[in-house]
Amino acid sequence: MKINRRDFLKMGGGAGVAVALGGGFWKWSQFPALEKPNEPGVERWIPTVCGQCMGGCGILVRVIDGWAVNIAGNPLHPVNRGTLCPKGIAGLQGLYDPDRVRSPLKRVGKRGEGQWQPISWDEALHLVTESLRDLRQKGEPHTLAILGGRYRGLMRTLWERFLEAYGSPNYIDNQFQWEGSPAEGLLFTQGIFSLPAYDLENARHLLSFGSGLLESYWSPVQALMAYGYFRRGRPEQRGKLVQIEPRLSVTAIKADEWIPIQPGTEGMLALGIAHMMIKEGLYNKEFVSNHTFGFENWTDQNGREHLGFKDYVLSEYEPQVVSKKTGVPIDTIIRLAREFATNQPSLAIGYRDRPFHQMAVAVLNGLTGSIDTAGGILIPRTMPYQPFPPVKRDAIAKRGLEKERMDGGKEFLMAGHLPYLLAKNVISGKPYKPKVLFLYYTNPLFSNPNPDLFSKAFSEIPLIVSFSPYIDDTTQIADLILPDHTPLERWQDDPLFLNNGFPVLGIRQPVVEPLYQTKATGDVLLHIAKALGGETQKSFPWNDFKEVMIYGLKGIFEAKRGDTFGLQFDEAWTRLLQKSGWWAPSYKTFQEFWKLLQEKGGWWDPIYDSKEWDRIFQTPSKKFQFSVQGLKQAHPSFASKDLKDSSLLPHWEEPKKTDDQKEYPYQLHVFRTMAMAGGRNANQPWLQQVAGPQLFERWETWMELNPETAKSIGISDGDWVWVESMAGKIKVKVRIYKGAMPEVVNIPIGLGHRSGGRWASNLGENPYRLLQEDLDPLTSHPIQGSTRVKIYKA
Amino acid sequence: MKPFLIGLGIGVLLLFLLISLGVGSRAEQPLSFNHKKHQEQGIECITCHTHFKDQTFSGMPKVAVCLECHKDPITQNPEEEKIRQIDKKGEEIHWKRLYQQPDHVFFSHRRHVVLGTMECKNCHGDIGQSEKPPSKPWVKMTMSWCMDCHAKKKVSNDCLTCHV
Repeated sequence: MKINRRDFLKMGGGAGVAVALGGGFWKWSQFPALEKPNEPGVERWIPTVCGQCMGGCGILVRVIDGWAVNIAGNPLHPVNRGTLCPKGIAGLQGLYDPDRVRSPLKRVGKRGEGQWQPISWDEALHLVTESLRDLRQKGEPHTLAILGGRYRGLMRTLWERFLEAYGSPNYIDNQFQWEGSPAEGLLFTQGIFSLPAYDLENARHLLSFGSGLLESYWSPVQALMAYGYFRRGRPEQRGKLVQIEPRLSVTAIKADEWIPIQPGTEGMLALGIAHMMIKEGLYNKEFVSNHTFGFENWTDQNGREHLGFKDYVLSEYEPQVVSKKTGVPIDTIIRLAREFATNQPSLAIGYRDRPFHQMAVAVLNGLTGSIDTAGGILIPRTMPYQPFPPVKRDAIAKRGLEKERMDGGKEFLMAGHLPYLLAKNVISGKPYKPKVLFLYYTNPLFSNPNPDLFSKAFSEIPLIVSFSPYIDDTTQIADLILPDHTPLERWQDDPLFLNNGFPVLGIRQPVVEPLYQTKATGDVLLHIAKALGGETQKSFPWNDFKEVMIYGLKGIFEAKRGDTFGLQFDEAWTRLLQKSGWWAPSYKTFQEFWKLLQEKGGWWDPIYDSKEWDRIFQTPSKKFQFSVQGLKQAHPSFASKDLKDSSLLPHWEEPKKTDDQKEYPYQLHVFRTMAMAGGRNANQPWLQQVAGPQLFERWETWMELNPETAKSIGISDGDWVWVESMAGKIKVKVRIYKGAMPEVVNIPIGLGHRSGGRWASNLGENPYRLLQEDLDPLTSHPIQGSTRVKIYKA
Repeated sequence: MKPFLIGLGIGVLLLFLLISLGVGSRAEQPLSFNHKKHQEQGIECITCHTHFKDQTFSGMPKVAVCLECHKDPITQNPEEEKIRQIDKKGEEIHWKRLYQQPDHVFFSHRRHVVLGTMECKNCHGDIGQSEKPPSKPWVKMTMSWCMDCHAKKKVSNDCLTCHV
């Protein structure tokens, strides 16, 4: 081929273009594009405390170049000793949620429209402070209400202190009922409002009345480790677990025996067992006569005769009566009672049922004398924080504090405050309407039945401020969002206790710099307090929450007990020394103490002092109570003159019959799985992916239905149905499950948010929407098993 | 038009050749470091690569490390003079990176050396015997290459092992 010059040049041009374009493209597509600097991947493992539920597990967070990339258990932390539940590692997703609130937000448009404008912290704090200052000037500080959820430590002290200095009596708990252990049971029998410590490791026989021991215990990892020890940790002794529950849960599957029972009647069964124990004399007579009150009939100081527990339960709770109500066969009741009474140490545990049903379970432990003994109910020492100096109340504060609480309770004594009553009162305007509402760690529009009641109530409140890092269901209708840090970004103290009663103080510290312009709510509160000036300012001499913590921690240093975390070997040694009166901790000065706290993760006191009866019984009689005394201020019904004796004894409370049983033939039973326990993690895909391990359900709400019941109404596995009650209806997927009792519909809670980020929003359904207004008058919690539903194909 | 297209074709062929031969993609280190010579002097790996026992990365020596011995001339080698020149300018030695993992892989030298009791040569070849610095990685470290060794050594191949 003859190539002339022109053609040659054209060829050259073509080649040049090819090389230039191709080479350039190739170079550009080199991956990774950026070269890493000389020392990339600086790795640190930082101890802190998980915040995914109330378990309080110690974690080590792997931080590479300032980014948290992995979470593992902290081997030194006594609660979990290096182990973790799936919620633990999902904490990373809580930190990195793309829909987190990144700066303070101000609402534009109408409430609930979801239109927000980012504002600066200066402006946000100014807005809040001005409103609060305004209220004080008008003499209305009591119209500030704080709705607080479930959290521990000095933040609670700080909120209450703030309200005291400011002048409002309205700190109201709105805690998701299912996140707690039977605190009311302990309150009624021993006068202590706290969670009891169950010495699971040393029990021989565990009688569980519907407790979610292996799935949704308040401290799940602790319960699981205790269960392992209970079964296999003691040579020659394998503990026996009996689970009494309407549904075959994980706990029931692992139990030696599952006793199916009509939903909500666990308390009745407890009374039936108590009846048998007393009738056959199978109770600890020595403990009952020396350390209890109200067992026998008694005469009060006015000469009036009162009915005691013994006569009451013997006459009212015969096995036939109990069997009829609960569906448990009579000989099972008798056998359970005998086994429970004769296999000591035995422990009866339950769930957060109605208060008197909780008490019914609690008195079983009183009958066996398993109080303050190994394998029984233990009362841990309180955390010896340094007490805060008293607040000086100025005139405005004094007047405000004298006003009645918005939820109708005058004293803080009663277990739960009454958010439901609050909502009703706000709508009616009695005693008065709140003007400013703070929402901290709570989501009332999700965790209460009849959310419309709450939205209606909140629409009456002019200013709602939420501190949530996510735009959850309730934050959606707020006016101002002052986002908190997530647990991995903040300082916090986490006081709790172990199953064996040892107090533990975990230290939560920031493992990364805050990702966004969020501020720890503790710091925000301090700032607001200072800006308000006067006595409010003087009551908060700390610059940030870390200083508040350090102040409180001085008390623990001064208490001269316990030690910072160490290996289990150290524990035995520390205990030995302390018992002999020596105290040889790993630190000498407060600086060393503080440094070790941050290095190891916290402090604990590995000693349980038994027979300190003042700590164990804080009742008027200083004894275990079979009859509730001393709670007259807790609730108006306790103070009534016509109060029957039996109303103060553990008794069965029949739920209101409001439905047509024919139209709503099935009972609703709600349950929790481990991934969704904690009530705050629906925005984490990893947990959604493991939501329902038993039937492999995930990313949706399902219902577990008995195969015969399903067949009788022509429903098959996988059908979508409407579940309807008198209060509302939801659409769920049916799964046929042999572990579901006939005529009972089992639906898990945790999904069904209307807001909360791309993964939580409008995913699944919230069975709380089905619950009616049959709420327990003392706690305003829904009553398990009282709601009836009907189902039909969607 | 035809000649242009022919030229384009030749250009693509040339490009292909150039790329596959790796011309222009070799990493030229600022100093022609002789590992063998230094090893013969009794210098340990950890003297210069200080972090393989306690961090995710291993590290490259800062100029101060070299100056410990080379503050004054030890040899006639012009490469050695370069060290002092760099130090005079107040700069660090700009080593060219050869081994790099994408951002979603959290490799840790510490885990492999301390827990896995591995040696440098397992992944980096017998670099102690090389007389010139390598210009490309000893092996292309793909995910399957890593997982292969994990499987052989019976170490976990779970996603969370490397990706968290």
